[in-house]
Formats: sequence, structure tokens, C-alpha cells
Amino acid sequence: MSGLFEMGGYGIYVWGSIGCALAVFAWNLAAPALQRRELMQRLADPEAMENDEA
Amino acid sequence: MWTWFHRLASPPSFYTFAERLAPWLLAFALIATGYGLIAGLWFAPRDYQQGDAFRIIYVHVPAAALSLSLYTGMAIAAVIALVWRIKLAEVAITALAPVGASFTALALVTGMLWGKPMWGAYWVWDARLTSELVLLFLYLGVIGLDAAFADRRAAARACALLAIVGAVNVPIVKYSVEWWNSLHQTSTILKFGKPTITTDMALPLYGALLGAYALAGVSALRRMQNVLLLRERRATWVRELLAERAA
Repeated sequence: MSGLFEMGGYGIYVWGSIGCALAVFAWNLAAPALQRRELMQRLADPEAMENDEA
Repeated sequence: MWTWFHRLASPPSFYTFAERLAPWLLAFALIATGYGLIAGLWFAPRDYQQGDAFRIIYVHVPAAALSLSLYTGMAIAAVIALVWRIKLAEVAITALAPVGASFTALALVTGMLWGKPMWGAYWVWDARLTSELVLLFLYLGVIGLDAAFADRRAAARACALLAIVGAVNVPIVKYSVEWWNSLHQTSTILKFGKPTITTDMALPLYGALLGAYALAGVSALRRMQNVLLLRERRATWVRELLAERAA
């Protein structure tokens, strides 16, 4: 089990890479979802939309 | 077949199609990525030269492959947008750029974390690394150009031109390791002929690759939906959608 964390001495590089990858994966899913929620709220108000050329 | 394509290219049909496809694609992405990473980090045998450091391959190769595939997709969308003026293709350019940029950055960072223990340096100005860095700047250029125009059609045309011109860099990245003496190793599985890797190592890599492609697909679909909602905010289908949600 400890071998999995140490990765034969390369732990920081291997787990650093995995961490970066998981962060990019999460961002790719979360960013459009947050954007959607914000967009839906903004578009639901037709008056605010008229003057807004986003 | 063609009528199906035509119908799919209309914004409301594409929106509905993406809404149905995305959850399934996401489920597949999570399963395949989970399998790829767990099997790759845990069960795959240690590399005889690189020890456990080779396990970075399970995130580096999917990210690098996606950086090129997404750019190719963006360049194809750019040609379609310029020639046929199809709105959905313009939307695809805007949506693919940030996804591609994120995976290009990931390929560079994981490559650096792999380069340090194996080559002794995080960065070398080698053909593969330099052309991949240029790829990141191309993505950032498209993102910046897209944001610089108020008129969506003008933005799409400018982005399309940049994306098409930048496409010359794609084969340069891909074949840099063969055309020049690179520190970077050559392809192990993404090439013609037999993979030069044992099955225990290869299967998790295929899993991680498929998973990452599906995940990027979900992200691109969701972003396209957002761009469509914004661009078509005055269209009946968006108004109906919002009314339905409010009800």
C-alpha cells in the first residue's frame, strides 16, 4: 500500500500529474455547468436581456 | 443520413440531442477513466526502464492526444463555418477552444512532471515540446479573438481563419518526434501497426484514452449548448425552454 503513494520514489511526479489531470477533468465539467446556471438565470429575465449584448 | 445531419445542425435539435447524449457520455467517461487510472496506477506492471514514473502516461497521452484531436475538430468546424456558414459550426469553434486549451496545458504540465525525473529537466526547447506550446498559444489566440468581437458572425470568421492557418501545426506536433531528433519518445500505441507495449499496460491506457475523449465530448457538448442559448436567446425555442423551466 505504501508503494502506491511512493511510486518507487517518483510519487510527487506521478501523483502531481494525476492531481493536475483530475483538476482539469473537474474544471471541464464544472465550468460549463456553472455557466449554464448563470445563463439560465440571466436569460429568464427578458428586460435585463434587452440592453445586454453579451 | 443527410437529412438527419441537416436536422441535427439546427440549433433546437442539436440542443435536445446534446441534452440526451451528455449524461450517457458522462457515465461512460467516469467508468472508463476510473478503470484506466486505477488499473494503470495500481495493477499495471512497472516499466523496466522508467520504473513507476511511466504511470504518468495514463494522463499525459490522453491529454496530448486530445490536444491534437480537439484542434483538428476545431479546424474542421472552421472550414465548415467559412464555406457553408453553418451556425452550429461557428458555435463549435467557440466551444472547442477552451476544452482544447485545457487539455493542451495538461499535456504540457504532465509532460514537464515526466521530463524532470526522466530527462533531468522540466523543459527543453525540443521540437515536440515547442510545437505543443505553440498549439496552446493557438488555442489561446482563438479564445482571445472570439472575445474581442461584439458581432458573433465576425468573431466566428476571424476565429475560423486563425484555426485553419494554425492547423499546419498539428502534423508538426504529431510527427515532430520522427522528423527531428527529439528527446521525446516516439508513439507507443497511437500509430499504425502493432502497439509496442504489453497488454497489461496498454488496456488501462485505452480506457484512460476513451474516458478522456468522452469527458472532453461532454464538456464540448455542454459548452455548445451554452453558446447556442446565448446566441439564440431571442429565438422561440429558447424562450419556450425558459418558460418551461419557469413553470
